[in-house]
Amino acid sequence: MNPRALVIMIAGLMMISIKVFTQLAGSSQNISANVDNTYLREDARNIAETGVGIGIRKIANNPAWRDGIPSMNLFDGVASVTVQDTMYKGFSCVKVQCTGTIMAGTPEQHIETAVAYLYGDTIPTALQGALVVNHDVSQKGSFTVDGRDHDDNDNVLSRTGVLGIWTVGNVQSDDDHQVLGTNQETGDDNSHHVDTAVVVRNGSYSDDGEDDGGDDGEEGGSGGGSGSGNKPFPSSPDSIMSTCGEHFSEGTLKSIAQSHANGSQYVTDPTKLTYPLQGITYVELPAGGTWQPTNMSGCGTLIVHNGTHDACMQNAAGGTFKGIVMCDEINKINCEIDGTVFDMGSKNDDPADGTGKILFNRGECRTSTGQVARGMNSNGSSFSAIAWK
Amino acid sequence: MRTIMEEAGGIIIGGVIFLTLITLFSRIGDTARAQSFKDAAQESTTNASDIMEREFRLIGYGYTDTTYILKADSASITFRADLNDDGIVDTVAYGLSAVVYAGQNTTAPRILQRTPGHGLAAPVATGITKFALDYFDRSGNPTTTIANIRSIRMSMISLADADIDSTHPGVYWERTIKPKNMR
Repeated sequence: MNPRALVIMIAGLMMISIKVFTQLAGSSQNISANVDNTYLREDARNIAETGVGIGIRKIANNPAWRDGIPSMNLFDGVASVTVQDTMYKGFSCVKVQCTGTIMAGTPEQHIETAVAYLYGDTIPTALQGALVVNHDVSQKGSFTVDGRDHDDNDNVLSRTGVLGIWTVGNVQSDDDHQVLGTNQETGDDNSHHVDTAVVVRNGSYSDDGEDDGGDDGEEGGSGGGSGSGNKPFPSSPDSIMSTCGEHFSEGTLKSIAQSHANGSQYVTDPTKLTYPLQGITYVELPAGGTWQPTNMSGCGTLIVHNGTHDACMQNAAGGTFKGIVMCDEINKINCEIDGTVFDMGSKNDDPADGTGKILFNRGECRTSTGQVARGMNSNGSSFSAIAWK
Repeated sequence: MRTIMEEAGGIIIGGVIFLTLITLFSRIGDTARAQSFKDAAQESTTNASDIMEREFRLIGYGYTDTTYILKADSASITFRADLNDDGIVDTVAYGLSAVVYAGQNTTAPRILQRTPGHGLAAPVATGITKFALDYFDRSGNPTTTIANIRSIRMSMISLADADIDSTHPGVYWERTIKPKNMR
């Protein structure tokens, strides 16, 4: 073979080889890059969702936590968590957002964001005081009603409390009991007989929660708004809960209790309750029925109600209950309730009689509200977010 | 005479070497082309997975009813979610297009398409020969009951539109999504 032809042929083959191998390498590189991109995107997504999960756990431990986490190393990347109070679907909630970044500062950098909305620092607006009553209140004994916000150790938290007592009727009291409230900045105030930041008499209910009894409480009494926004006093557990922003059609709470979501119970005979109470405990007594003595140890939402609106809790005793109590009637509370009590009935019972105390606890009320709302929306899943995106 | 035989032998050996090289380069070329098509198929699949994963993750988002999934069978799904976060719940369906050509068998490449509730179907990926959906309940057991679905496994095979050595280069993709809003 002519040496020149041989050289040309070899050169041609080499050029073809280079071209083919370049193409092959390029395709392989693209395939690897595709896999890398997918992996890095998933990694960034995992970082973001894990960051949100960490934020949710922190809020679960401390409902007031809003600090966020500016930067946290996670899975070879960086997570940045922010927490803020916001609105979702018309009611307030806590938004936990996390930005997950992987390969920061390189051409391969991927950023993903995850968001979860949690039930916020919201309780039903109908629960305007530590004790909400649909009739006159007569305070007796050493009973304490404290509308200041408390933590789990009964320490007072500033500026997040509510009224001590809110009633559509009047309030009469002995000197031995205490009523405290922090519905305004001044904090605890023992001049509870006249201070409308502590006690509201003759209140009228509006579902925006702004009616605290008016500005005329200094005279001790004729408080209560009369605006066009006034609504009937909520007379059922579902209508009370509906003031949290979610709508609970009549019978919803009962059906959740019957589903046993989150340990919920539904009984017509209180002796069949299992303790400690948790989730929604729905006690439907027969007409005129009385639960006596009332052992309410546990947490969650306790409902004592029947179709004739006369289911009665008598001599509440035993351990502490943490959460929301809604009942037709209640006489003598000799235990501690960390949360709030809503006395729906119109009969003049004595919810503020006894040796016990009601310590408002926004965190417990919020937890109970969240459980109820989740029970309605998710068949009682223990997951605490309203929505993820 | 000897010179002629040497030249003939050289031509034959050179020819064999040349044919071998041609064959070798042809094979390498085929591999390179297959690789390129595989790359294209993979890119098409990952693009489709980006779109689908994002939307599947959002199933039920912004929707207060618990009927997040309207239809779920082995080859298509229709679900609801506020995908744009604009307060309006969207209805979206995913599935393969109908057979395009008369007589085309069901395993022929088709288009994976996304159909919004009010709108025309849009292609998400082409050359899809298999798009399968499997559904699992809270415990991870297969289920066909829509209300019990908690996770979805998607799998698809995407083939390149090229015939190389009687084979179609392609990729298989599988993903299991657990939409967090379906609880």
